[in-house]
Amino acid sequence: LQALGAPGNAGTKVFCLTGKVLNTGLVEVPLGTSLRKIVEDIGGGAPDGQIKAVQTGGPSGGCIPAELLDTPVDYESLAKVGSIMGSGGMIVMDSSTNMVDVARYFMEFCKEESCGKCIPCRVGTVQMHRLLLRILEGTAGPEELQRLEKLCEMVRRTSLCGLGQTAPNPTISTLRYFRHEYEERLRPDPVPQGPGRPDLIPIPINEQRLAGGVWMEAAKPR
Amino acid sequence: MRLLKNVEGAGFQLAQKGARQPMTVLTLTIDGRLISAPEGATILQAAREAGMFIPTMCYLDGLSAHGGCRLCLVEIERDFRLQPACFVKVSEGMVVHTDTPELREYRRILIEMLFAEGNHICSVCVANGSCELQNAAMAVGMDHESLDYQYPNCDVDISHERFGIDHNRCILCTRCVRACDELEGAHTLDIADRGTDAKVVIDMSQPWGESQTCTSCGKCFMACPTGAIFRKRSTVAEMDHGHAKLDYLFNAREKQQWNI
Repeated sequence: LQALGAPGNAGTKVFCLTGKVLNTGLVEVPLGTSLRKIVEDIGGGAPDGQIKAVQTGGPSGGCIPAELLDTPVDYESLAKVGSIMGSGGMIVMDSSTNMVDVARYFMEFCKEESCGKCIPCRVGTVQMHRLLLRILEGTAGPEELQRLEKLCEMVRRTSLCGLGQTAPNPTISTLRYFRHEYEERLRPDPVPQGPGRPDLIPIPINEQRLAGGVWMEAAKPR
Repeated sequence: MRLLKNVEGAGFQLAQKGARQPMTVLTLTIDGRLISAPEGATILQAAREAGMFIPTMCYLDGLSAHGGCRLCLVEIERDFRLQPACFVKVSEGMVVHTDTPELREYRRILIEMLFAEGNHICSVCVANGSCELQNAAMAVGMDHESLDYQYPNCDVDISHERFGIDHNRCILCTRCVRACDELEGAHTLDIADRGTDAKVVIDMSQPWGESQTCTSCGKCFMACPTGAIFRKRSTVAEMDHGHAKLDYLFNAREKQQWNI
């Protein structure tokens, strides 16, 4: 067994290959095999269209984009690209997959699985799931995206156990490689500019009074 | 020897086995200050003994540590993870940082999370002014809520003759559960369900008034940091949890120390 695999990563590993590939099922490969070999040669590639990304390691893992398919599957290389070996799950996604929805799906899973002992995981997963939903709906702005990133980092750093510490991983990795998919869905124009907003009532301001410091008086409509 | 004596008399909660033997004193650095602490003390105990402040929520003197609130997380040099000060024991030459900008921000978000999760409306709460959640919010400088309020649908149980529990105000610190189990020995209270659904239940999730195990001792009320468990027929001005009574009980029982 030591003869198989890569230096420092001896032996084989069983993966559960699933998603948008021709041949799904359990595969056993020597460690250090490239992701491309597993997905394209053994899996037979995506039945219709391009492979877009591969999610490894289950709900706590990360998404590896198609550009990095030549990454050898060993513990260090996967960590370097922001994912993990984890449970050995390997979900292939093609161009029809919405990466924000992928992140939302995994966050929903972690939210359901949270035991509720520590605050960051119990509340953080709910809050991150809400933010992801809002980004999908198109009602979130850049500030929500910023808040999501902050929460991801905070939950990862402060959670008590592995579930909370890794729950933001799919979101972090999709943000890292598919940030444009998030940004495309943000609210188009956060603050309507200029005149012509019917819900705003123009209040004349008396510049002279304002200069005198009587600002409440200055704002009174005349 | 004199130093050892002082430390021994300082009221550390240590395992009683061999308490009469002289303790080993360790030195460590917390926030740039060199302090000494007996072997077996936690970072939190060492820091408090030295008069340093580390915010806590689920920790209470007299009860076992829980480690769920994550407020006392500290940075230990040469440790890539943040560690809860209420659990980690001091070691020789340890260098601890308790107040970095990163920690300060995380603590603020943690408190914001608690406010977002429950229905905390201070103006109509009996614990207003004597609430640890309120104090923590001020201590961490939370001036607004940046998260979505979750508005959970919680119930209030006032079926007990002397006490009531309002789940809207519960932060799931489990201090009441530990007080009931460890100090009273009744274990009437516990946590049911998980994640957002987790809640404190009485016996097999039945009305408090019908509980066969509750001794009506009020230790859960003494342990509660917020207004979740309250004494009935008492006003905001009369609200005094008396948290220190639990520590007194613990010291009297476990260490035969009867002074307050």
